[in-house]
Amino acid sequence: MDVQAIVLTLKLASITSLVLLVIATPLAWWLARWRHPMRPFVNALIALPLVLPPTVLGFYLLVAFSPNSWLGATWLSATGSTLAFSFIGILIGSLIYSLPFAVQPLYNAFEHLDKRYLDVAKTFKLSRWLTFWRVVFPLTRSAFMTAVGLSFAHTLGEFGIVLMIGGNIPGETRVVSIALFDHVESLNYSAAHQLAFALLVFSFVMLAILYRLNRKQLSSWT
Amino acid sequence: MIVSRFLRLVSTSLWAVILLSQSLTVNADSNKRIHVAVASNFAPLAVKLAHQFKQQSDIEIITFASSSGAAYAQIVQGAPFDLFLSADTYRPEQLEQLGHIVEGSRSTYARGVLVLWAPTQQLPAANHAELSNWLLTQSRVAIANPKIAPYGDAAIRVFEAIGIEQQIKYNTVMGSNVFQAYQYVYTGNAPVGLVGRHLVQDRPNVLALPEDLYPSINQQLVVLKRSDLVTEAMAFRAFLLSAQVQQQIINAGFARGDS
Repeated sequence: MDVQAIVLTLKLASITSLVLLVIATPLAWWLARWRHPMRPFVNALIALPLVLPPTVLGFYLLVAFSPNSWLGATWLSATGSTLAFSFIGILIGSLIYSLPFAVQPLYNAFEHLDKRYLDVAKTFKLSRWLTFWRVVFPLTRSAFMTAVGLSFAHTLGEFGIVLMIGGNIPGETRVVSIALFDHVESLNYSAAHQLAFALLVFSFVMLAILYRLNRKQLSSWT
Repeated sequence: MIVSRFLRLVSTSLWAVILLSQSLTVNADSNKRIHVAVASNFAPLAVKLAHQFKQQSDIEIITFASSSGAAYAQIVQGAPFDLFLSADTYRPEQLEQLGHIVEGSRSTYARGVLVLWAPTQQLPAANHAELSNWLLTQSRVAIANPKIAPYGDAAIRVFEAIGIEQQIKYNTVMGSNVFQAYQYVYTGNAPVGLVGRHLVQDRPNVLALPEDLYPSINQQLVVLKRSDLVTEAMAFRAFLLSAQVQQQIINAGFARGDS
C-alpha cells in the first residue's frame, strides 16, 4: 500500500486544520462582531472555495506561485525554491480550500453566543485572553471540534488543487487522492480499490465520531 | 416575501432552461450524431476536424475530451461512445482483446513528437552529452506522468537513453497529462518541459528530440462495437485517415503515422 502517500496526507490534513484553527478563530470572531455594509462581501469571499472548481483555484495559485509573479519571486529569493511542487505550496492550497469549513461553524457559534456572558466577564474585569479561555471557548467547544474535524476531513479528500500545483512528487506532494488517481488511470484497479477502501473507511469513521461527539452543533448548520 | 418571489423566479427560469434544451435536442435529432471520446491532447484538433466533417457529410460529431485512462474505464463500463481516439496504443489494444471494437478498426491516426521547450533559455544541441549536461543543470523539468500519459513515458525513455534517469528523478515534476506539463512551463513554475510538439507549434525555443531516443508515440483510434452508428463512425474514421486530413494533422505538429 501507498504508506508514504497516506503519511503525507495525514500530515497535510493535520497541519492544515491546526493552522486554520489559528487563522479562523480571530477571523470568525471579528466577522461575527463586525457591523458593516461590506460584511456580505467578506463572507462571500471566504465561501468562494466552496463553489469555485478546484482547477480554477489551482490555476490562480499556479500563476501566483510562478517566479514571474511577486509572490513567487519573493518566496524564491527568500528560500531558494519555488512554491509550486512543494509541501508548503500544497499546504497553502489546502488552507484556502478548507478555510470556509473552519470559519463557518465558528462564525455561527460566535454569532449565537449570548452577549450577556461577555458582559458578566467584563464586570469581573477578566482580560480578553481569560474571557476567551474561561467563557467563550467552553461555550463553543463543539464548534471548535467541528471546525477542526471538517477541515481535516475536507483536506483528506482534496484533489483538484494538489493535482494542479503539486507536480506529483513522492513524499512531498503525492497525497492519497493523487496516488489513487494514478492507480485508476493506469488501470491498476486492485491497488486503487485497496487505497479507496482505506480512505472510505477512515473518512467514515472520522465523520461518525465527529457527529457522535456533537450532534447538535453539526445538524444546526449542515 | 422576497424569498418566495426569488424562488418562483428561479424555478420559472429553470423550467425555461429545461424546455429550451429539450427543444434543441429534438431539433438536432434530425441529423445523425456520433459520440467520440478523445484524448485531451488531441481534443482541440478533433473539434476542428469534426466541424469540417459535418460540412461534407451531415454527420454531427460530439467530442468528449478526457484522459485516455478515464475514457477507457468508461468504455469498458459501457459508456455510449461510437469512437475512441486514444493517446496511446495500449488501451486500444486492450479494448480489442476484450472484444469491444469493430474488427480491423484499430489504426494510428497521429504520431506524437516529443520536444524540449524552454521559453527563456538557450537550447542545447540535440546530442546525448549536451542534452544530459544541460538537463541536469535545470532546477525543474516538467513532464507528463509516465504511468498514465504516453508523452510522459516517452520523456522517461529519453532520460534512460541518455543515462540520467537516476539523477534527474528529483528534479522532475509531473503533470497528470501533457497539457499540465505544458502549463507548468507556460506559467513559469518550471523552466523546462518535455511536451508534445503540437502544443508548442510555432513557438520559439523548441527543440525536437532525436526520434531514436524514445519509442514512437502512436495515437490510435478504434470504432466501438456497441455503437448503433457503425457505418457513420467508420466514415469519420476514414475521414481522419484520409491523406488530406493526415496532412492537416501533420501541419498541426504531429509526425506521419507508422500504420
